Amino acid sequence: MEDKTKVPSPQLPAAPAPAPAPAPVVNVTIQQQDRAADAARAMTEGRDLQMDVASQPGHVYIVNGKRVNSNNEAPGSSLDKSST
Amino acid sequence: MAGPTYGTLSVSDLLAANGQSIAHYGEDRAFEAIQNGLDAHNEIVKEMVSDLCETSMERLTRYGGDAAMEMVALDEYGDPDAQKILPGSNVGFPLRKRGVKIQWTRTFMLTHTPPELANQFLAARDADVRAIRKDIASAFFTPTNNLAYVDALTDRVTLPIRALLNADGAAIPYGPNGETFDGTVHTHYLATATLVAANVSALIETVLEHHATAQVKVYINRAQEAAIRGMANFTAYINPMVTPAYTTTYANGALDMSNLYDRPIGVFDSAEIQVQPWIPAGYLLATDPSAPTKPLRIRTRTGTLDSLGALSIAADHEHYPLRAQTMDREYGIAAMTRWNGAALFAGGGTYVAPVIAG
Repeated sequence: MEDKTKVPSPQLPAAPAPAPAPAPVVNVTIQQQDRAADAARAMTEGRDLQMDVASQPGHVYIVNGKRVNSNNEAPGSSLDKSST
Repeated sequence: MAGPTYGTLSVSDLLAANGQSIAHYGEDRAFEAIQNGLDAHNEIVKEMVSDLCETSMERLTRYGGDAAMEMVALDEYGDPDAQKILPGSNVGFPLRKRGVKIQWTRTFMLTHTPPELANQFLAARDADVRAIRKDIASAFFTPTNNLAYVDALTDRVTLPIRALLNADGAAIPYGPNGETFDGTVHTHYLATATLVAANVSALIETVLEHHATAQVKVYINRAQEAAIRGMANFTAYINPMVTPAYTTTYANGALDMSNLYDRPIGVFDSAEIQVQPWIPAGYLLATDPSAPTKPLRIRTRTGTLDSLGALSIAADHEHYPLRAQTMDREYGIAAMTRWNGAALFAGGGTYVAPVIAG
């Protein structure tokens, strides 16, 4: 016979899903602000990334007095990401 | 009649024959001596360029590429996506001809001495050495590619002449410890407004990070010698005529006290510092001459610095009363191992290509 004196236990809500593990901290040396994209990629991939330690911002050179990119084109072409 | 004179003709014979005209000395003897001098000069040039340049007849090679794949976690139903290795980029090498002409009249032959003629040819040989040095410096210090070079001496094919790694987007191989480099931002043309030790260390590391067992040499102009000597990371070679105090820290090597513009002067971090006359003032160059592949290639038609690749008499015009001798050499120099060199400009925050005197 069913015992009706007992109060049924309340249904507990399901335990929340565990919080995602924080991204692993990787050793990244950043020399220039425009290395942020490479650094972000390194952090998501979870591996050390040796950055070129003395690269210049962007890759604009001065040849014969004119600012050009790696292929001797005026800045503004597809390869030029310099802001200077 | 005087007895025969035995021995090999050399330029010194010409220089000693000061008391007679060229015509009296004999034009055939004069030019035989000049040719022997040219042969010796060409052997010296081969030795001179062998440190930094590989000699080849190949005009196109490939460099770089992303040569790594990644293992992907799978379950029992899993199937990885296809991966592939990115190809490297084409690297071309030019072929150019440089020449010099010495011309004279019959009257010159009748009235001038063999030493005066010999000096003309010695000056032509010096011009040849300066031209090669200028082309080597240009290959190292020009930061831009020439993707539209037309191989005019062969078949007018367009070749991509490339500089050292210059952030042109070409894929760069992984480093010795798995380091990755972004080809769109990684450059070996560095610049600084004020030359300090950290700049030189960074210059050396720019080469080392691609080849962990490199024996890097840093070539500088004499104008930068004082600044380098004043840096904390530098340890000097000592004057071999002086016994240093036992408390002195010095590098293992003897300092050449006479050849001030062409000598190693000491050690900076892991690299040897050498003063070289062909480095433009205000620039430093790091490279590893002992690497499995040289930083530059000299392209010649035959693959050697002989025949058309040598400084040779190309034309012998005789049109009385005018005579001329044209000498030329066919060669082209460009960067081959694009990681094996890094240039630092010490005059501002943006790399400026130098005007290379020759």
